[in-house]
Amino acid sequence: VLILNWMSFPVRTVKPHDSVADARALLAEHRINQLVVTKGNQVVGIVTDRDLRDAPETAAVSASVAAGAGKAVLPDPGGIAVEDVMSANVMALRPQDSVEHAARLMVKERIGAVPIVEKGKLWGILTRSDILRAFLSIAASNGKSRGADKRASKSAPRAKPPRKPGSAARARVHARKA
Amino acid sequence: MQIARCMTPNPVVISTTDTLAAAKALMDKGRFRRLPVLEGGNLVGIITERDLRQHRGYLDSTRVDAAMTSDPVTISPSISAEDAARLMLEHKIGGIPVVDQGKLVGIVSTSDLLRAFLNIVLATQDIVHKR
Repeated sequence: VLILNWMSFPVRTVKPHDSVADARALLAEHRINQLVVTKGNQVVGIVTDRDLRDAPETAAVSASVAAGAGKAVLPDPGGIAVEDVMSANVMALRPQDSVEHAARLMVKERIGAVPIVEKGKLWGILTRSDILRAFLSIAASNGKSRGADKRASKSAPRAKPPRKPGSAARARVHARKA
Repeated sequence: MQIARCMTPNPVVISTTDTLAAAKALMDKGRFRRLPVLEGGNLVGIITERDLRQHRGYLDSTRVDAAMTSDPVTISPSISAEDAARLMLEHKIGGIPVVDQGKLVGIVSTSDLLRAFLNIVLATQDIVHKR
């Protein structure tokens, strides 16, 4: 099963000097979790929603280490560059690599997506969701004989938990501390 | 393949009245991103690492039930890995608690499903991996 057939494209990218705030806006706009960081045509990093959410802390820690100071004021996400919080050590695969290989890599490295690169060009990105879709399609074609399974899947069973406690509004909970 | 065979059984859980700091400690220790939340032995919610991030700075003073997702999607141990994958894609979630007759018996994550599907694919297709 080739990555080529299951990867997502076009890939949303940012530049190393783009701000964390802009990158987060892009993630929210497209409802995605990763952005590939490019410089010219070159893939130089990958940045996740998690990296971006943690960016003010990450930046504050490196600033205070550099200054030898204690706790620094958290910087504004608009003033932090993507390159300061991205992973520069990118594990990329090629379009002709197998989805199985990608699945193994993602589980082993605990990552959510892999940029798909060939001949210096970014062709796509393969996410865990893409892999689940690929496997579902394989399972469907393998399991044509298992008609009973397919029928059962139409009404995906979903047990309800016994009760649902009211969840207090975050603001109120935080106010309680003050 | 039934979920019972690829889920993580007896997952680490947390109680509604615990703090988010306690939840974070459990997640860091076990290296997972979500915990089922129990109240009186019943599953009442799920709390993820992402939920914790939204309460940054207040982890010691915020209770789990104030930050969790109540009434989470759950599945029974007898459903297939395929159905679990469909639910994850449909709800855009990364993990689902497995409940049997009202009792939490496991949790299944995308990693569990990727492993399960790899086994299925490798077993049913003669894929030669060239790299």
